[in-house]
Formats: sequence, C-alpha cells, structure tokens
Amino acid sequence: MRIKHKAQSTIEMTFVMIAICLLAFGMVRIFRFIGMDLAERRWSHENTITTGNDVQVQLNPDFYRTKRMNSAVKY
Amino acid sequence: MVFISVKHKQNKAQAATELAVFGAVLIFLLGSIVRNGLNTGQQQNLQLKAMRQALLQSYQGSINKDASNHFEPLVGRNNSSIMYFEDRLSPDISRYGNSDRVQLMASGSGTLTNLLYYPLTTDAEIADARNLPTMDLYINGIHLPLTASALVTKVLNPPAGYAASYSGSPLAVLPGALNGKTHYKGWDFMCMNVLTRPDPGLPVDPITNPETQTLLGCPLFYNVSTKPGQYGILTEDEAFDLNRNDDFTDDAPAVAGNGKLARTDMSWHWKAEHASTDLNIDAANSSNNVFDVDNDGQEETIYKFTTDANNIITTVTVMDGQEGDFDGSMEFINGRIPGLQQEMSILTQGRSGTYFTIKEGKLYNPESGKYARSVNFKDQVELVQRMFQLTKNTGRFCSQDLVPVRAATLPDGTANPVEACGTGGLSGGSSCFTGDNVKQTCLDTETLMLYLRTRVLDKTGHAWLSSTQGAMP
Repeated sequence: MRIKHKAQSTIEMTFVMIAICLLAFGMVRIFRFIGMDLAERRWSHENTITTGNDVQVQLNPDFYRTKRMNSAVKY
Repeated sequence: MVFISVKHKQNKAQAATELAVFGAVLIFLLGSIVRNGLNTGQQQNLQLKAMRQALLQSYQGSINKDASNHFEPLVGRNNSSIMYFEDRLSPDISRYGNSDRVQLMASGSGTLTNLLYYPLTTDAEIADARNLPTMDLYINGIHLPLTASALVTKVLNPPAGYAASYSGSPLAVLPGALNGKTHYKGWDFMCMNVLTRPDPGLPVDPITNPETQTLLGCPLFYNVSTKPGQYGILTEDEAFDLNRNDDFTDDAPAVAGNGKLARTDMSWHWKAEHASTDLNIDAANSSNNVFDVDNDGQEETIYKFTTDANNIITTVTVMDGQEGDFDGSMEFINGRIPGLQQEMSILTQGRSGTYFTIKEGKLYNPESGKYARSVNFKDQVELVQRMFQLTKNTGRFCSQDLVPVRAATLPDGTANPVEACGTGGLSGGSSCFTGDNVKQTCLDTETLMLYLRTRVLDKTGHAWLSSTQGAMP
C-alpha cells in the first residue's frame, strides 16, 4: 500500500509551487513599485530642477505623481 | 486490509500546510513592505515639495510686480519657511478599506541669496503687510500664514512712575527709588545736563541770578556686543546684566565663584547708547538700525524715527519679532511652549444613509459585463484637530475686541483660514467648543490657542470585480 504515497512530495510541490509563484510574482511587483516610485520621484526632482530657464517651472512643488502600484491587473 | 500508518497520515499535504503557515507570514511581510514603501514615498514627496515650495515662495517675492508692471520685490518670504502636515491613509486590511491615518510632517526653508537685498524705504513698502516675515503652515491642504514679527510704532517714554526730566536749584536730585542708578529699565536719567539762569549775560548769583540744573532723560538703545570691553555708555555691571532686570546680584561676577562663570567666560554682553541722532541710524540702507528699543531684551529693526528739539529719539517705527503671531524666542505662554502642541485627535463620522457598505455575491452589471464579487466602501468625514499656541493676537485672524470678530480676509488680502473666534466663554463670547465652532478652525483669543481643525472626506474602499467578457480589460 505504500505505493499510494509515491511522489507525494512532487505532487504537493506542484500544487504549492503555483501559490509560491504567485507570491513571488507579487513580491517582485511590490519591490519594483517601491523602488521605482522612490527612484523616479528623485530623478524627476533632479531633472526638473536643472532643466530649462523658467524658475517657476523648475521649482514646481507638484512635479510628480505617485506611480500606480499595478500589482495585479487593471479593470 | 489497508494500513495507513500514523506517520504517513501526518505527512500528507505537508507542503501545503507549511505553505499555509509560512505563506501567511510572507503575505504579512509583503503587506508591511507595501505599507512602509507607500509611507516612505509619501514622506519623500512631502519633503521635496516643502523644499521646492520654500524656494518658489522666496523667488516669487523677488519678482513681484506692482500694478504698473514695475518690479516691487516683497521681503516677507525672503527667507521662506514652510511646514507641511498631512494625515494620509495607510494601507491595511480593515473591513471597509484603509482606515489608519499616518501623520506625515515635512519642513523646508529656502532663500535665493542672489536676490536678497531689498531694504524697505518708502512708507508704502513699510506698511505693506506682505513684507512682514511670515512662516507658512500647510495642514491637510489648509494654508495658515503666521507672521513672525510686526511693524509697530513705539513711543519712548520713561519708566512708569518717573519723569522725563528732573530739575532743581542748585542741583537736580534723582528720585530716591532709583537707588543711585542713572540707567534703569532702558532709560538714562542723566542723558543731558542743562544749566539755565534768568539772565545768561550775568554771572550766577544764588539770589539775583540763580542757576537751575535740569537733567533730561532719554531712552537707551541696546544691542549685543561680542567685543570685550565694548559697553557703550554702560558700566561693566550693566553690560553683563544679561537678563536686564537691573539686579546685578544674579549676573556673572567679575571672578568665577559660587557656581557662576566669570564675565570673561560669557560670549556676549550688552552695549548701549543714547537714543539720539548721534547714533547715525541709516534705516534707508538697513545700516546700523538694529537695536533693542523697548527694553524687552530682544533687538528690533528700526525703519523710521522722530526726534525732539534736543535730537533725542522720541518715537520709533520698528519691525518687532515679539509682536507677530508667533514668537519662537518665548519660553512659555499660558503655561505652554509656543508652537505646535503634542495633543492631536481624530473624530470620525459616517455619512447618514451611505455609511459602511458591504455587498457580497453576484451583482451582475449588464452594462459593464462584470460581476461584483465583493464591494466594501465607506463615506465618512474625519475631523483632525491639532493645537498651535500663538504668542500674540495680532488681530489678523480675529479682532482684539473683548468679544472677537472674525476677519473676512487677512491684511495681505488672502482668505482667512481661521473660521471661528472664541474666548473660552469667559468674556461673554462663545467658546471654540460650542456646537457650531467645534468643527471649525478656531482661535481662542484669551488663551491664544489656535485649534486647527481640518475635515478630510474619506470615500475609499475596495471592489473585487470579474469580467464575463472572456478577456481581462
């Protein structure tokens, strides 16, 4: 009767890996969002403040909009 | 007969069980990362915004133009100072969507040093409220400009109970209460010594032509000196009377002892001169015009002054840092430290009829072709109260009457962010906590406490939808 348990861990791993992959995908998206949001804001700040001759445009306080997370899908 | 050992039974679905446990931990960690990431991003955004806004304000003052399109620079925000407070929603897993609020605070200051030199010269410039040094608070989008000083005209009178001059024959004698002090409460009682007699052409005669001596007093203008031995007309004791209470026993002694440092250990001392035209005050060029003129131990900037026949200054128009809405140099007022207080509260009220909606199940919308699996949202207002201790009611927000009246606009023409005026109920007016006032930004003119109340509409929530069109949009 022990034959019933053959490859049990493989089968379980197959199912579980789906969930793990989703978690890993979510983790990648989240790290990407957080890193990109901080980096792009800083880049936008540096870029706008050193570009052009219009001081009021260079110093515009509303120079950046927070990135959308888009960790799943849009509807 | 089927044998399934206990050992094998326990091992069934072990990977799934472990994933359930560690997956939950992992999801929690991911949630924490999202939360901290969003908060960090918002904080970074606010810091950059504060710095940019401060620099922008400094620049906009520099390029200001009048109605004739001529440059008319404003100096009020030359050294711009800004503080932002925002109460942002923070991601969480509460039932009706995000409900936790995180206080974000950022301050910025900026000065465009290549555009700084704008002395106020004309009466119109001096009187322009936009030229008052101002710090700006932005609380959940509400702009609260607080002046850090005010332009005031002060009449320079001798200390209460004393006369501006004393005369007598043969010699004037100062009032006994002065204990021999000629300098007292910012006044010099022996500023000028005037000798008169009935007939100046004849010699003094105690009977036929007696001489009368008149001691004219005059104000003293103080300023801080760091040069050793530079006391002006003060004695060394007076120069090291740093708290200016005319009591030398609590000051630094000449030689260190009894737990007190010596005068040589002090980094500064007072220096004073008679308030007269001999001071060569050049207000038009902002030169030699910073003195303590009102004996409050703080220096003021002189813009205008008038003199009497003896060239003694009798009135001064000064920019006084103790006359604005907020004086950061003041230690306590009404038992509180001036500025933003630690107390803060958030009150939440759901909108009647629409609050806290939860919808579950197949709510099919034929127009969108989607099933709403789960919809949770709320419709509420959050009242966030902060307290800011002012140091003076300048009348900009609420009048200085016993029962204060709210000003429609501020002196610079902008809207008044204070919505109500209260008196603590002690003077017959209404308190800042009456039913009408409790939801509004209110200044209590008795305690000088400014209750900053911002109302934040919160209609957030979440919806889980699925499409029946066969493709994800």
